[in-house]
Amino acid sequence: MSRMLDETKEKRIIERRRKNRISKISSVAMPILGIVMLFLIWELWVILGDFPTWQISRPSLIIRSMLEDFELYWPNIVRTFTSILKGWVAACLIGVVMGALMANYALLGTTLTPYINLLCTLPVITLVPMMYVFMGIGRDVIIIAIILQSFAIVTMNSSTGFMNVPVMRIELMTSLRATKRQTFFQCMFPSAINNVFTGMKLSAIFATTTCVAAEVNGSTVGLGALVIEAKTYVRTDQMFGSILFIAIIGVFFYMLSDALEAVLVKWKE
Amino acid sequence: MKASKIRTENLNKVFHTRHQDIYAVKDANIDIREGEFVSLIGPSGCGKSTIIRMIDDIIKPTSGSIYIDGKEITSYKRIPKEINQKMGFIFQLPNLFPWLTVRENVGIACRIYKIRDEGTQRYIDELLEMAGLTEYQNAYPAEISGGVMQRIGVIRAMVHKPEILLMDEPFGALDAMTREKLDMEILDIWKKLGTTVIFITHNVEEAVLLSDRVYVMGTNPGRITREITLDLERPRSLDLLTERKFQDYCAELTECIGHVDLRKVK
Ligand SMILES: Nc1ncnc2c1ncn2[C@@H]1O[C@H](COP(=O)(O)OP(=O)(O)OP(=O)(O)O)[C@@H](O)[C@H]1O
Ligand SMILES: [Mg+2]
Repeated sequence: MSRMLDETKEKRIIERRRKNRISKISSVAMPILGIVMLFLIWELWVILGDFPTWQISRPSLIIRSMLEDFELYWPNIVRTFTSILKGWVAACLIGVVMGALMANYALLGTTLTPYINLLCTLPVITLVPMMYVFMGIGRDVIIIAIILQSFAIVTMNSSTGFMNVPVMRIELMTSLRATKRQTFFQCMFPSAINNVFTGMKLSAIFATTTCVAAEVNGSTVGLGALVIEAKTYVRTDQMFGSILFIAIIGVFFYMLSDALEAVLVKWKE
Repeated sequence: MKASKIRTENLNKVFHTRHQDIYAVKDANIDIREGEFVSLIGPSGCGKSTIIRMIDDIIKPTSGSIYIDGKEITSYKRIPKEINQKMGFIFQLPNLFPWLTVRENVGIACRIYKIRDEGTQRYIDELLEMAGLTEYQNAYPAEISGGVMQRIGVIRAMVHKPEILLMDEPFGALDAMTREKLDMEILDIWKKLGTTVIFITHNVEEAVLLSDRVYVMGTNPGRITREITLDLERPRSLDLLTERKFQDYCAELTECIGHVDLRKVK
């Protein structure tokens, strides 16, 4: 009886592994293939349409610029990367703590929920010019903007997670007379962690877009600023190069949270 | 006669919901002696779970008293650790934590109670062995079948060596064959450890097969309507199922429950 169970289990596992392998290969290969196709079409379109380079650049020139002018990009890449990193990490911490508090204290939850929803939908970038006026052009404004824009989505998702912990799990902790702290860390947090990660991934996207938008709006450093500068000097190749680097950074942060999740969440609900 | 282990006095529980007040338990008086195996039986929604959840201090009664070993526990805001550790609760569903391995799930009580001696680890080994789970101990719940999971739920309630086991339809979700097998295992464990058991079920045969005594409950409001002492020999085996005396008890119980249901329809 148990042997039979084991056999079917084994089959299932093998099947799952096979599926995983296919999806792993294709999940890397297909997007790359897609990008290559896109670049090819773009390249041909620009060449055949005979567009002037000040109007639009093409991938071969952009990639050449990304390699040749790398020294120009590098300090801006570092600046944008670290701004996003700082803002995003702060946003995640604030978001999780607030989500936990709002789920545990009903009054706080009902009080803050509308504001959290508002912050999720409000484009914080619209406030940035005003913030520059109050706080001066500088990096603090950018990081604050990132935090404002991206912590709320973490809060929203994690408080949903904390509130949807199955009642019976909490009852098990009560039946063992667990302290509030034990209940939170040994039951609620692991139950909610999937939602927390969903929030973190979305917030990585928010953080990237907000950072670049704030840089576009009045910074002198960072990839966002470089886009504007390149446009002023009619260097469309550098402009697109900066945009590509921004995309790479954004994808990096998204994948970072994915990888963190894969390392920390090894179980299935 | 042995001393009273669990006793309730006019126990009441009313749930106030948005639309109505639900009288889940009304004036329940039960008295269970040390080492006794007692079943609570009744139709769905008659307040069976509510009674043992009050005994285990998962929820507070609206009024009435509960005594464990003669000590009143309802007056405490939170029952003392010593009394809480006398009890082990087995849930209607396996209710395992998916992020813990089988072994870690079994040992959760030790983690919460901060029991860290070597003897406990050995006791966990023993329990796993007894339940035939040794080979699964490092698996995660998502990887195992329902019957195995429910076994884990059972031995999880026993790691801290409770004197009382409160079992809320532990095998209700399983097929009849697996259930009978696990019922026999429960009797073995009960005999070996000498625990006091409150066993909830809505299966008449299961109640008669296992218990010394059965409380029958009815709905609306949830209350105890009958108490039947079973005069059947121990140790019991599945052979009992075909015996005349057994079947008579089953018929009697079925009738009690049936009456209750009819009254509810009116
Ligand atoms: N937290 C709660 N809030 C409101 N009503 C509740 C709550 N818990 C239980 N009830 C109600 O109390 C009554 C008794 O519930 P209980 O779970 O004790 O029934 P039960 O006999 O265990 O039923 P089952 O066999 O289906 O498990 C039901 O009508 C149920 O809807
Ligand atoms: Mg129940």
